[in-house]
Amino acid sequence: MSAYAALTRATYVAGVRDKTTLFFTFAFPLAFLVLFGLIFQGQQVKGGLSSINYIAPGVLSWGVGNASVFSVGFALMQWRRDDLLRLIWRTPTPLRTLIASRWTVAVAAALVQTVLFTAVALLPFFGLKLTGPWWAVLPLLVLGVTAFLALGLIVGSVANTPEAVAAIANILMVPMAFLSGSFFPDDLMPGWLRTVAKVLPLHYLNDGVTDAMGGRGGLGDIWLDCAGLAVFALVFGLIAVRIFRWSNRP
Amino acid sequence: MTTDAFLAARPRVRPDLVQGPTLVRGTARIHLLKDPRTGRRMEVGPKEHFLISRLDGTRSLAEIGQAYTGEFGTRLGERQWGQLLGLLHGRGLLDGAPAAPAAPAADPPARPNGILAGRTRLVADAPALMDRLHRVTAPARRPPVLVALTAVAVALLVAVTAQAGTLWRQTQLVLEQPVLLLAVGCVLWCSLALHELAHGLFARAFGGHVKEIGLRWTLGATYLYCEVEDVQFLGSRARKVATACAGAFVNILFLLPFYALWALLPTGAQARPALGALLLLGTVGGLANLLPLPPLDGYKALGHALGITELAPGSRVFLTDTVRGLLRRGPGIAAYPRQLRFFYGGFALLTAVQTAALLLLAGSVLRAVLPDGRAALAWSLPPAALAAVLLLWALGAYGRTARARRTPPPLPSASPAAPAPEPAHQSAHRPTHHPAHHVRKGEMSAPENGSEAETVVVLDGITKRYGEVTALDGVSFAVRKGEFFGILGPNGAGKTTLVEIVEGMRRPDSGTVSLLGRSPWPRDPALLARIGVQTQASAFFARLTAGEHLRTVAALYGMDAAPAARAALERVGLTGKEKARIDHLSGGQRQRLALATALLNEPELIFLDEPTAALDPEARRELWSLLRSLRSEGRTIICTTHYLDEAEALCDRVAIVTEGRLAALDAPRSLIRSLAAPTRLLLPASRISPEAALAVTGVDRATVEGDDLVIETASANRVLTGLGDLVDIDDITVRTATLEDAYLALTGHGGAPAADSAPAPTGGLTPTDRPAPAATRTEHDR
Repeated sequence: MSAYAALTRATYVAGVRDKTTLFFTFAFPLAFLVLFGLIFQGQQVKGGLSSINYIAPGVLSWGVGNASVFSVGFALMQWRRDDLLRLIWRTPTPLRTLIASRWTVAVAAALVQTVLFTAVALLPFFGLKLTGPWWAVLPLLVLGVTAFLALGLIVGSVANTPEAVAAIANILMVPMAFLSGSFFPDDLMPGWLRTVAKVLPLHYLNDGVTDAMGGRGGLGDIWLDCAGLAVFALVFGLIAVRIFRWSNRP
Repeated sequence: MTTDAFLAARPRVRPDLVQGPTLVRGTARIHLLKDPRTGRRMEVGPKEHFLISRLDGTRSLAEIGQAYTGEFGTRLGERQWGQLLGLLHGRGLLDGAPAAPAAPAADPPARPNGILAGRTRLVADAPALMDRLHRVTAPARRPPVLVALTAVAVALLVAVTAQAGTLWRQTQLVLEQPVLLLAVGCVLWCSLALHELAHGLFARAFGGHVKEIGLRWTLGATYLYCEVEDVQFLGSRARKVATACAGAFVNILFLLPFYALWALLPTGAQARPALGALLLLGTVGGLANLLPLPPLDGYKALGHALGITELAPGSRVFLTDTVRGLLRRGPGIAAYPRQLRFFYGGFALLTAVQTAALLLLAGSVLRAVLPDGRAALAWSLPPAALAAVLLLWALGAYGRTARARRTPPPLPSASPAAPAPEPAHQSAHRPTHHPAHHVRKGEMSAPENGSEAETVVVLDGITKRYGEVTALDGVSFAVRKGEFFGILGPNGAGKTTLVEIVEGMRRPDSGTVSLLGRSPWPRDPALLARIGVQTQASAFFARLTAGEHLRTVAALYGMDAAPAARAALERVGLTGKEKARIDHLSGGQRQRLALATALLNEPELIFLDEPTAALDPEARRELWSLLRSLRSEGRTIICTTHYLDEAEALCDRVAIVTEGRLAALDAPRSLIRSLAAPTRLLLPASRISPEAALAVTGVDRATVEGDDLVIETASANRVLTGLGDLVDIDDITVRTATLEDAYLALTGHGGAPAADSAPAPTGGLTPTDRPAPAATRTEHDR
């Protein structure tokens, strides 16, 4: 078994055995989807699309981003605190193998989330119809997971305690979810707020997924969103590399 | 023992026992007691309390018995005394009684978490977090600030009331916009979280103890909770009431900035309705919590103010008794004193009035919100909802009772019929633990000191600074192949930095390091493959089994994972635990697993960092023999520790590091010898006086330490012969100098070694008697 395969397996097994992670990755966003689906059921947003075409992609992109940031942030903080990073440092396995294994598991989790949430939203009761180029969700998800994973690495490097990870990640993700239109169509927001949202990675993920799944925009818009996510992935990745620490001691 | 001798005894309850308040439950008076050592709480009746509060060591049982007869009119026999003292003794509450086993987890068995209901802890160390918050909020606790805050809160309430009409219209606007309503809800959720923290902070300020902070969810609603322990022990009623009301107080204060924003925004601003709704809903929510209805804060405050625990159930029983009395089916309420009749009856009336008012209010709110056609629904919905809630509650209560009836209750931990202790002999219960340190035999064989021995690690003039702090200051030594090398020193002496430099994780500011003949810096994977490091016992992959963890690490080394993991498990004797989750392993097993991790790559050199920290004696011995067997395989072992007995038992040579410098380096025996410490002879002080001992030839000093006479001498043989004529030689304990003496001499008593290293010769009392108020000591005792 290669080091990459072993780490991927270890990450997967640890994830599956952690009921809290499973809950916040799958059940919690699903509850949001159902809740918002019920609140806005049957309402139409200007442009003629049903509100579920906004809610399902919104909750999906928020769920994917949230899961990536939290899982990696907690893991990195704990690994450094418990000296597990030191243990890995002593082996010939490079750090990129570790990150690659986490990335693989995060992408796989995002795919499962996508299938699950889409399947629920497609139920006649909620009434989502995939009219757009839905397959374009794939590159969006991969880039989105990369960007949020890098953000999670930053959070995990800054924070030294579980409380700090939760606090920092929540401060980043909760306002971002609201401003990026994950919980309600961002067309409802005043214009200046939508301008502010353009500096948020979740905005691009949300925008792209809504275009692809909800059928709001065309491929041109989606590529633009992909480019935006790639830029964020690059910037966050560079910052994460800069501030990475092997140990909590100075 | 005769009855007279028994009644003349003057037993004493432990002075640190915390006497809680006197409360009323039902018609009975109860007194609360708390054992600060075990955290166990007890309730006793007035008679027991009368006796316990008089067991102070100055009064004899006979005197207390007389006072008891005067107070309650009955006589106390020897049997009753025996029962009471037996109970107190069994719980470790009598002064000098052996400590009772720590209280079994007093919490009810946690219900498993589900989607519908459950809880999860958010903060790993809630007491520490509360301590930090307590310090941070210190300025806000000054009386002038508190008064000012209260005044501002009252002003806000007045302002909100005055503008209630406007706020209500804005709230109606918001109610039609789910997005805005959700945003308001989120802000109010934060306010609720602060509410819980406020309870905790107030309790903490009054000396209480916050046990847990976490998240609870019930039927889809999620909220933060902050569990305060022993609210009843906070002191005066006012303190308890203040703690109960703290949450609502903070809820109102939380609204201040929003009120300012609301007042400053122009009338037409888009955000105004949302702020208005926030103000109105926040104020109503905060104040509603002060209503004296269970389970709201107001109810708790009322209970504290009246000194009645379980006010609502008490009131219910009172009503039942009243009705039964009227129907001539029961004795009625004759047992209730007048005051209690007033309280219980008044509370019942108050609850009825409040419920009616709340139903009316809910109805009128619904009436205003719902479309006109649904007026009937508006008035019928709240009572229906209340009825449904009550029905569910009753069903739940019935279910719980039925379940409880099916499962037998656990046996009480101490039965009142426990055998009576012998109070007259209580001084004999004093803990006596004289370390029987007889002459050590079988010294460890020192390694060949041949200079031709191959060196594995060579350090030369290593210096490392962190800013102003010099962690290492010119440290030089060499470790020979096959040696068990100990690095000793107080915490913060630079031990960890030293090891990190040797393995190449850090670069020294100056000096050179050679590890297996090469430089460890910069990172050299080929070199790292030849060493193994046992770090703290927590460096494991989360939620894996022991086998999975080892296979993962083996794969990281690029080894054939399965056989390597199996071999390592077998090596440390954990084969049976391959499929056990690491979280379920004991401390000793985890240490051994950490060792197995370090051994995976068959290293020539092994670093151990505090290998037996926090292990019980048996697990330590097991680990020691494992370490010795590793050494016998020819591996070199470098081990940091601050257990001196461990270094003495295991190490061929020890380096003592203090304040970043090498204070000494030699075999433990040589270090002890070079100290030329006197031998100590211990014998019971009652056998011989210090003056008589000094007269014996060879005695240098003779002092009384506790119950022992301690003789120091440089020629133990001669003194023993001389003493043999005066006392029974079997009463004498000989204690030669240990590494601890050498260590303390070399480190200049700088760092206190771990308390459980070789026991101090006096074996006596702890040197410091912390004068801590009992209420704040709970955190140390659990």
